Amino acid sequence: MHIPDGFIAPQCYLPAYLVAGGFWVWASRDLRQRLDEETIPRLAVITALAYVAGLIMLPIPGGSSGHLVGIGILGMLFGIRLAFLAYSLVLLLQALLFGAGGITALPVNALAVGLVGASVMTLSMRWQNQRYAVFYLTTGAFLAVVIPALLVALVLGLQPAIAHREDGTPLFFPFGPEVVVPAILLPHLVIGVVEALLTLAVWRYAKRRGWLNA
Amino acid sequence: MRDLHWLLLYLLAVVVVTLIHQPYYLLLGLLLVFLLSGSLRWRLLRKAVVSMLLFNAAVSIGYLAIALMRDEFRADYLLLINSRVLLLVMLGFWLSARINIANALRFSSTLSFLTTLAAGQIRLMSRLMVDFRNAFESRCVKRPNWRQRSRLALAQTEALVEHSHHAATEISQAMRSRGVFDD
Repeated sequence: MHIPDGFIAPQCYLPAYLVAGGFWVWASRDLRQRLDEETIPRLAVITALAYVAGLIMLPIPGGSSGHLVGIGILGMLFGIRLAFLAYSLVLLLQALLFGAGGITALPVNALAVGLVGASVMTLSMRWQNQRYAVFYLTTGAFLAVVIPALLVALVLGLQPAIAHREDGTPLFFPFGPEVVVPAILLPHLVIGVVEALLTLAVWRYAKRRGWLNA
Repeated sequence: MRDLHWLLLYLLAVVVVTLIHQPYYLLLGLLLVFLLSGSLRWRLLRKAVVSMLLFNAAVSIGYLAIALMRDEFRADYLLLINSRVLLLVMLGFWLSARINIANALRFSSTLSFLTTLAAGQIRLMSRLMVDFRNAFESRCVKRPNWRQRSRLALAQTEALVEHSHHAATEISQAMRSRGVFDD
C-alpha cells in the first residue's frame, strides 16, 4: 500500500517529517527509560516481523494476490507505540539498507500505516468485550488496512493541488482524489477482509499461547 | 568521508532533487550518479529500473490515458516524473551499496544496535519464508486453490510470530552473556 519515492512534494513531506518526529519522540519516550536487555531485542525482532510480514502473499478470491500489511497483527500483539516504531524502522531499513521504498515517502507512510493503522487496531482491542470479541477484532483488523489506505490515497490525491506549474500541469503525483481513492481503496477492501481473517487466526493462536498480554 | 557524512549528503541530495522541476537537470543528475557509481553502475541502474517499473508504468500509462482524453497531455511531465523517481531510486541503491548503514547510524548506539539486530533478523525470517514457499510448491502438483494458499499464509504468519517470540529471548540472552548490558 505504501507510497514509493518521488511522488510526494516537499511542501507535504517536510511538514510530515515534523509531525512524524513528534510522534516518534512520543512513542520512544517510555522506551528510552527502559531500553534494556529485553526491549532492544524485542523491538528489533518486531521490526523484522513487520518487514517480513510484507512478503507474505494474501490470496484474493479470483486468483490474484496482495501482500500482508501486518499492522493489525503488530498492533494487536505489541500496542501502538512499539508497532509504530517498528513500522517506521522498517521503512527506514527498506530505504537505506535494501534500497526500496523511499526517504521522501517515509513520514507519510509511517503516520498513515504505522500510527493510524496500529491505533485503530489497538483501540478496537481495548474496546473489545467478551461477547463480541471476534467482531471487534476483525473489524479492527479490517479498518487498520482500509483507513490507512484511504489516508495514503488522499495524500497522493492532494499532490496535484499542492504542487503544479502555472498551467496546472502536476509536478509530482498526477491524479486527484477522484481517481486515486477508488484505485487504491477498492483492492484494499478485499485485502482488508482477508487480513482480518488472518488476524483472527493469529489472535486465536496467540491466545492459546498466552501471548496477548506480552 | 565517513559513512555518516555520506548519509547526510544523500538526505540533502534527496531534498534538492525534489525541488528541481526541470527534467533535463534531473537527467544530468542521473548521469552524474551513474558515472560516480563506478563498476556497479549497470547493476544499480538495472535494479533501479526494475524496482520502479511497475508503479511508474501504471502512473505513466494512467496519466497518458486521462490526459489524452482531457486534451491536457504534456510529454515533459512524463519525463519529469520518471527521471525524478529513477534518480531518487538510483541514489538510494548507490547509498546502500556505498556505505555501512550501521556505521552511519553510530551517532546513536541504540539505533545502530537496533538496525544491526533487525537487519539480521530480516535475513533470517526472509529465509524462513522462502523455505515455506519452496516446501509448499514442492508439495503442489496442480496450481493451489484459494483455501490452500490461505492455509500457507496462515502457517507462515504463525511461524513468524512464533519465531519472533523465541528470537527476542535468544538475542537477549546472547547479548547478556556477552556483557553487552554491563555498565
